[in-house]
Amino acid sequence: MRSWKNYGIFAALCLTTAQLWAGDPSLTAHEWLQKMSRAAHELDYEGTFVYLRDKHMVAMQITHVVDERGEHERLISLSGPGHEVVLSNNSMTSLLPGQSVPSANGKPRKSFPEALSEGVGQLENYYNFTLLGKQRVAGRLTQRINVKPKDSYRYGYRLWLDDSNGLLLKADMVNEQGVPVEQVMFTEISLNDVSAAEVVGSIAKHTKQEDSGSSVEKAEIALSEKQEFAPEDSQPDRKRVSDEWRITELPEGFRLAERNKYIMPESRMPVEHLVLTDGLASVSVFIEKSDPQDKFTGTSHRGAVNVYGMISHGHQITLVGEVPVAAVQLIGQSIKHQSEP
Amino acid sequence: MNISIEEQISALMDGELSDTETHNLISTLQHDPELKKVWGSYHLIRAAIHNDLPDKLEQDVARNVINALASEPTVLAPRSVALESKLRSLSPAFRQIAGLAVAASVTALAILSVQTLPQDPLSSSVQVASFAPANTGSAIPTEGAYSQAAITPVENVLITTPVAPAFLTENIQTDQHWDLGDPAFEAKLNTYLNNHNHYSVPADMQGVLPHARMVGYGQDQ
Repeated sequence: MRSWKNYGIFAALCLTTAQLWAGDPSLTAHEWLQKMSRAAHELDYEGTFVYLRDKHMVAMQITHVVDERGEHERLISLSGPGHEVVLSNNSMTSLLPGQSVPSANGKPRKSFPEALSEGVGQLENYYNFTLLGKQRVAGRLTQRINVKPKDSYRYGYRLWLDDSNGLLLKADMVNEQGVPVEQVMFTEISLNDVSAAEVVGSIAKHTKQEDSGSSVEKAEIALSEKQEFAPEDSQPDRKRVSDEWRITELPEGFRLAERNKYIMPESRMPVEHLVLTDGLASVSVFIEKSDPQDKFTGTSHRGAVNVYGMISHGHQITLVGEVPVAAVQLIGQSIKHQSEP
Repeated sequence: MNISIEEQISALMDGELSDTETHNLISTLQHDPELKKVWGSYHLIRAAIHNDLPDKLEQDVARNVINALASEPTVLAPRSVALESKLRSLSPAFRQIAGLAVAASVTALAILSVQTLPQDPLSSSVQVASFAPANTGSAIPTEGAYSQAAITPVENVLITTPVAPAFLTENIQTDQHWDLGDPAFEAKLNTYLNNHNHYSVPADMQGVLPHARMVGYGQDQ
């Protein structure tokens, strides 16, 4: 009797899972994005993808597992010096053989409900979402979605979502001319076929190596102060971003989501980090006391990421964001010190 | 027109052009900076596809070697002239043997170079042409001093053949760094970028992109 009951529960679970992941032709773009977001956190998968920006191409291997302790992810570059990023719940460690790369702890990545409640709904004010046909990526059927910005302060996206589970298998970030500025594409992926113990074990091994002071060094960024802002909090007063600074102009839909203060690992100097986002793209503003020997003014870019630097009232202000250069320039030039009118 | 030239470049890389076509295309390439870039990027793409990219694209080293090469003939020329006069002073029979040896070594060298870099007929043939006379030294074991002096350029040939022509390396230098000309601030920007990608990019919406960026950018360091 008891075993039948267990079977019943098992069957019910299977049904729920099947319903969750089954390809549903009637989904809207909005629902597809929610599915994508959920898949990124809940699925176990292992695969190889290529990442392309400018003229630079890298193949990487990714393993993502979820167990009772949370999410674990490992990315290894298959070419070049073998750079590796390990994410385990709240911690991120960047391992580059023979080099010290800072790793961060203590800050959870935004989880799906939080990121999404802010909203795909709101996103529709700034982007047009279009469901296109089905295409094959990494040997799997995918649903293609186009995301087109309504102004020139953000990039467009072309997304290919696994038709059966919503996982993002291919993504292009495109500029106003429709030319890709950054692309990722899985070439091979296997789902639900990952030995969690193996991955977690390997992550633990890496962390251990790190602690024992091998060639990989680790520096932590201490978060001394942290404030998060819900959309409604920051809206009325979105332009006053700190005691000293305010932003007078933001592209529509961008709001202050977070403010952190921490010590930079190289200079040991405190830096204020403001996070602005429209829910899809984001811009970081870093403010620290300027070093007369080491200034940066103007713009530079890598792939989709544009940076803008300026000096204001003895401070180095640097903006970093996966948005067109016009956006970082507009925001940067509108940052005013409290002493300015 | 542009497209067809690009197709020709691709065909050239695949060794599918006739000698005349190759010759014509190479002379066009040499005078067209835009096409040089195409040529360069095709090679880069091919290297990437074959997973053949070096860990670090050493633009400066390549350029230095090319510069060194450019100045090389002035050093070599007197030697090969001296060598020839030396050869002339030898007995006719020996001269004949030495001449055969020269021919043989040129052939060997040509094959070697072509094998080293089959997709790059341009640089290998140029190198062979300019260095062949000096190679005679290695065919005359009795002339210790000359063979010593002459072997050096042979090694140069072998080292330099894999080096891309100057115009190929031209467009490699872009995008490797932030182009600020300030390594200290570039390091800081990398930290900013890591923090931005990890803390700020809305999770889920960009899939693996944020962390791929960190791993991908790490390649440059």
